[in-house]
Amino acid sequence: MLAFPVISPSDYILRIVIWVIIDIPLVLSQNLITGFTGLLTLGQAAFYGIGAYTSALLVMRLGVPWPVALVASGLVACAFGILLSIPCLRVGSDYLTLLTISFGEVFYIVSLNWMQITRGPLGIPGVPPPQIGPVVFSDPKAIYFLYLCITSLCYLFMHRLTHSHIGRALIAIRDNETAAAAMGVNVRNYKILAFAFGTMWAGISGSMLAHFLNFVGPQTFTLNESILHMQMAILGGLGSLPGSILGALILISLPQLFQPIYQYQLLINGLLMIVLLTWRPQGILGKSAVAKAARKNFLQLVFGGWARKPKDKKTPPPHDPEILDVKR
Amino acid sequence: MDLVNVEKATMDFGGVRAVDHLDMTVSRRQIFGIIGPNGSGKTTFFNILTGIYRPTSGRFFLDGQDITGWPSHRTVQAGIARTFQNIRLFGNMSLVENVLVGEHTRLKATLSGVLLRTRGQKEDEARARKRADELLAFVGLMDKKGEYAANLAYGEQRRLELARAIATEPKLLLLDEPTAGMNPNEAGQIMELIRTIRDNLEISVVLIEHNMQVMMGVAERILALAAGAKIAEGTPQEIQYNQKVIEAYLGEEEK
Repeated sequence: MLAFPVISPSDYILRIVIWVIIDIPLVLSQNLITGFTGLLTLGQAAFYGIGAYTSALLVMRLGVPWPVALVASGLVACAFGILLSIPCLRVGSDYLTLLTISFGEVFYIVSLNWMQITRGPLGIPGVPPPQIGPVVFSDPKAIYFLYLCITSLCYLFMHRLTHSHIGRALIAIRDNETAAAAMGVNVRNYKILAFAFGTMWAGISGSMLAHFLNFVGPQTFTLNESILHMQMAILGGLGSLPGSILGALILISLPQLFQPIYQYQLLINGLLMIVLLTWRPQGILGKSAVAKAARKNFLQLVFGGWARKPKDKKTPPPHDPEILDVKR
Repeated sequence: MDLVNVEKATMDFGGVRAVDHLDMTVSRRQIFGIIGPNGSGKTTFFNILTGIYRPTSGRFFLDGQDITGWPSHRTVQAGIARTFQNIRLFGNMSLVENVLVGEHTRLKATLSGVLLRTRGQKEDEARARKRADELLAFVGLMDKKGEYAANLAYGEQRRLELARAIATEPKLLLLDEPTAGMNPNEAGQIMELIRTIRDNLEISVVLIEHNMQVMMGVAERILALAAGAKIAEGTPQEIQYNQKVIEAYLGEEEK
């Protein structure tokens, strides 16, 4: 992975890989909200956009150093995420989706029309490349390494979060909200937490995009973009972090490979999703109880008693009172 | 001092009074049974006691602490654990993880501890996993600890729910029809399990049950409900021959 910029055959391919690296935090954050916590939101593009505009404006208008702008873009997106979570958590699941879509649309319309700040459809050109002190990351190879660090940090963040009691609480909420509450999980607070971190990383992703493209414009942050990133999360597997990386890789590189039939991209994506949901509804790397049971049954059906015959274990007695000498 | 004190618990759903001025006292280390025909308010009573619904009126005390109107996650912290009539497991989590969610409120690690993976957090997590293994062994599911909860057989799912409830380290365990749909052999095992839980963990158990054999065999005191109100309370023998209870279940004899 570290040698990639050196062996990369062309600048063009390197740029696509950087694009994937930028999108991974966005897909991971969608996965945190939808895959782990079970909240179907379709407004991630808005937070992506909030991050991009925040970072570009801070650097260009106020002369803020890039690292500060990067962190600020995450925090601003996070603040909007927490604000949006308040009405979202008061309504049922379907309305939550609609609310997030409307938030995305509101953001798009505002960015398209607020000429003084966003310059509307003209966008903001000339966003400077990332810069830490005197070091300017203008070369794609340098950006590759810089962004790889940020995205790795994001992955580590998500990995630790989801592999802890916090992550288990989120999955518990997804699987059965009432039971989660009956186990002492504060359902509302944990949903807000998922929203907060999910939107924070989307904002950081947006900042990375702005300083890589050197341009911010409203067309990048439409509902289509939200849907595309949701597709990446679903394709890779909801609830699987490596799946999100794979999903981003596939759905960004495929259209590039099929450049000549570019106009059919949405059609191909649609077909891909239908095939996926028919044959592997849990996503490429996703796991689910139903899928595991189905695989077991299938193997049993095909190989019968030949393969995977359960060993004739002596079943232990239902319980052994001796074991529970763990008094309070 | 008694462990549980319920005073005039009342729950209205619109014009329907599901629980009607119910008083109840459970002593420490007691196995307490609640019976009543379908729709008599047993499960609703559990739901207001655990904060799933907010009671219309009445007061609830656990161990002398006023827990009236507390939300679900706080009643767990106070020391009430429960199982559900229609099993509610986390289907796409493994057995161990299900039990670990039960230990949620007992884990001390903070968000920064989790993100930085501090030593305290790792020790906390290791302790929780060890305890989860013990509890799974206790209910006899250790050999399936890595399976998904959704893929367990029915009786095993009920046992897992028990393990998950005990994992919260309760003072009071509420069981909503723990032997529903089980054959007499399985029901007997659950009865045995309930007694062991009470003896070894020294907690009180309140159970709702339609299986009278189980109820009469395990409960030390029984409360009978009809249309949300208490019609009788006493030892299993007293309840068995109580005229009002017989009427509630079988109707009045024609004169």
